[in-house]
Amino acid sequence: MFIAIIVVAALVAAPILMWNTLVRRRNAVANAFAGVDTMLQMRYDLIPNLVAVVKGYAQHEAQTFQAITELRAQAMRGDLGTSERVHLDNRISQAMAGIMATAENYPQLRASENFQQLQRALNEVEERISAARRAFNAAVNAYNNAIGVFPLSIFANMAGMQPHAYFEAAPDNRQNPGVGMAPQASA
Amino acid sequence: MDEPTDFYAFYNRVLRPEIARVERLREQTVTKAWVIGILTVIGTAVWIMIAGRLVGWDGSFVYYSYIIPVGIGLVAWDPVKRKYRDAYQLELVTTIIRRYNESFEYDRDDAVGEVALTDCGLFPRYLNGESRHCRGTDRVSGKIGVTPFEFSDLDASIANGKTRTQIFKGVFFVADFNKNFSGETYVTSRHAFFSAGPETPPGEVVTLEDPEFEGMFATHSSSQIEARYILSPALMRRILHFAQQSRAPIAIAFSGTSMFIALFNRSTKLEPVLWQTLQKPGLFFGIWANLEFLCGIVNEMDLNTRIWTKGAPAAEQLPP
Repeated sequence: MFIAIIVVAALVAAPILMWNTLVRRRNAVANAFAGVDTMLQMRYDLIPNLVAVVKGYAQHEAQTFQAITELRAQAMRGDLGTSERVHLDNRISQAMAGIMATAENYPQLRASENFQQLQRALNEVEERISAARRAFNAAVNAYNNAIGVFPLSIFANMAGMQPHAYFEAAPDNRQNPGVGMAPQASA
Repeated sequence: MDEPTDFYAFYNRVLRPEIARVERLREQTVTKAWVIGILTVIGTAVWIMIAGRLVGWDGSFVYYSYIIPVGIGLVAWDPVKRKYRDAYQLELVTTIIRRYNESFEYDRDDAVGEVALTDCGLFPRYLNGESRHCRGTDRVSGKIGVTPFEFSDLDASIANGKTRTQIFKGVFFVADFNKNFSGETYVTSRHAFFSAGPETPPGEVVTLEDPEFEGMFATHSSSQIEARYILSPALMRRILHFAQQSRAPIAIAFSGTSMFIALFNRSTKLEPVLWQTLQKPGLFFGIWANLEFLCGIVNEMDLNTRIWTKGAPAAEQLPP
């Protein structure tokens, strides 16, 4: 009798626990993506400043500035899905790297305090984005593993849960747009 | 920092004459230690005999009466020991530290404050302990590049009734961290088969991408993102390398603006050596190497690289 009660309890509890695990993992992915989004927002906030500072020295690079301003406007609309967001973010990173490359041609700009402060802020934001991306990918990995392993995969299939794509930087984008900032010499 | 060959040049030129003088004092101190020890043993035996004859052998007075001659022995030993400790630490250790870096401060009677031990969050049992006891010695502090740091030997324990539990014994290191953060992140050795190993710190478990790092350390943090912001792949490799060098369980906390490193079962090696000769270069090279290891943490962890907004160089300090 006692064994029968345990078996029934296990049969009732197991699906609940498995379902809760899947929901927790799915929510963790959403939560981690919100973290990435917050960090990306910090980067978008820096774009107008970056454009304004660089424009002051490199006025004839108008096309570059317009491109990044438009990309930022698209990103700020907020109606994009995860994969579109990732794609757009990669394009913004490329555009920012282009601006930083442009700045290399203007020694006065590179020496200006505003530009250097922006570079530092950009370095920090890029590090935070990278951290948020790693946290997101860790959550996606845990979620994908959960929906892929038996017996959780049965519930995942029934609920129509699909594997989530990782947030990967485009190959051209692996370099931090803020690079070029000289680290402080150590002792 | 100097290479070992430089240390040997310094040893031969500066340290050797001072060591010869302190060695003479050590020999005298050892002789005095024997004399005081033997006299204390003889005195105790005589004292107990006399006390036993005078008040009888069945009284507890006889059993505890040894306290008096032993106390006299300790009182006699204290100034002798102090004189040798002064010479060893104020002349030899201070000279070595000043040679290592002239700007470093050394205070043999001071330690990294108890506040650091409680603030770092690595020792919740200590923080919540009723009767806390923390003492330490041999504090070395200074600045390497742009990074202020300090370390010392530290011994912390808590008492519950008559039971005293050791929480930490080893070297405690604190340095300013090179990035801004607001929460707490902890990295602790996983396989610490020691009675006083790292405790499980608070916070969420963080699973990091580096399998070797994950195998060796457990990471907990108040924020998954911030933990990864602090523990960049490069810093994880540096911590791994450092842990392999230290050959001791370690616990690291990132809290406030600082990085705290608890090196369990290690010592600064700055306390005087009495029962072996000082005229072996290996002894002082050991101190030097240990100093290099501990001060090297700043460079090992790359804490001087400040390309982030925290403590970043002013525009005029940067190359054009």
